[in-house]
Amino acid sequence: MPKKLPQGNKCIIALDSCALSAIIQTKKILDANPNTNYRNLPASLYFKDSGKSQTQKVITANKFAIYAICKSLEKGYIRFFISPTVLNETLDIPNKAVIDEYLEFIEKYCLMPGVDKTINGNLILVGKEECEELAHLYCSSYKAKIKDKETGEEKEMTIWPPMDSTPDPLNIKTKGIQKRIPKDDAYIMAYASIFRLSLFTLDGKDFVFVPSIKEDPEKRRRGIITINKQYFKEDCYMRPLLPQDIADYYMNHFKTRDFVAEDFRKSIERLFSPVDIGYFEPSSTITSKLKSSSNYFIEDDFEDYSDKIETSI
Amino acid sequence: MTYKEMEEAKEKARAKNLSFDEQCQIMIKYIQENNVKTIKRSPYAKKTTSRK
Repeated sequence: MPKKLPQGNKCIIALDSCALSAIIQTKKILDANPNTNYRNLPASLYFKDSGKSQTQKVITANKFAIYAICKSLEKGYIRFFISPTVLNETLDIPNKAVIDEYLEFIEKYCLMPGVDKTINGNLILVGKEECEELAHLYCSSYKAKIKDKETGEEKEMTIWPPMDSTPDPLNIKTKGIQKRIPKDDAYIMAYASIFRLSLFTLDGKDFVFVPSIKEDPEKRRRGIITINKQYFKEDCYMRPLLPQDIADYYMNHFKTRDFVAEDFRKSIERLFSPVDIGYFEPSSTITSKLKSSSNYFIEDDFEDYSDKIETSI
Repeated sequence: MTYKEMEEAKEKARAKNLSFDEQCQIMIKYIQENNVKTIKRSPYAKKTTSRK
């Protein structure tokens, strides 16, 4: 008999490395003193320059969102998804004691892509090839219909890539032009999207807005959403989310401005709106759930189905 | 570890110039050697249509 689904709804959130770091450090503070108010959390955990260039509103939003995520984690409402790039950055932390602390957290609360065998018998991460393809799309210009401000007509236009690429270190030149490859951030975003997850990040400049284009602050995020819709050929929810988005949603939709875990759980579920594995209904049976919408599942929760898993090739 | 220190770790990881392939291999090794929960493709998975 298949195992029962986990009790209670669980939302899965993909993390950028800075968000992972902030959550681990905040959880450590809250474990030591559970009554800590989010306003008293140190800003240095969330900003490169200890918040000097940030407005007080943004600092408060970051502290609140991460505090609330940690509280929801304690209650078992959420789990995190870690991509290969984030794991690699974690393993490169100079202090071994810190690495051990991080890996302990990852083992306890995080999920990773499964491992499949290719036809040749090689091991490959589930979704890896799709992830590479999508990361390249994030770094390529794309076509979308844009409404003309003057005439109101929709025109198909070619739009600048939402994410940054970098010269290929192998220095391969095609017709005199150096090949470019996606930056790590594009792979982090792509892996989250492949598993139909939204990405939580503290790095607005890498995933949401382009600092040089002041009049268009949501340029990257809009591009990522558009490319996801085109790639998956469906109306997708996956997008990068900043602490500000979570804090704004919570403050706008719930009566109290003080933290209420149950309310926050609803805001997290709505915001991350996962369409596949990210959302479990306790009453669903495994078969109906898998048939209806899931492309992926958490290995340990459904291990009785392991003999039916397809390879990713 | 502060945000700044995490950024430095990121820079260090990037300086190694590990390709995405190599990063995936590290993760496979890590999963095999540790007790990590993973996400698998369901037997009913829809294949993503490639634009290539």
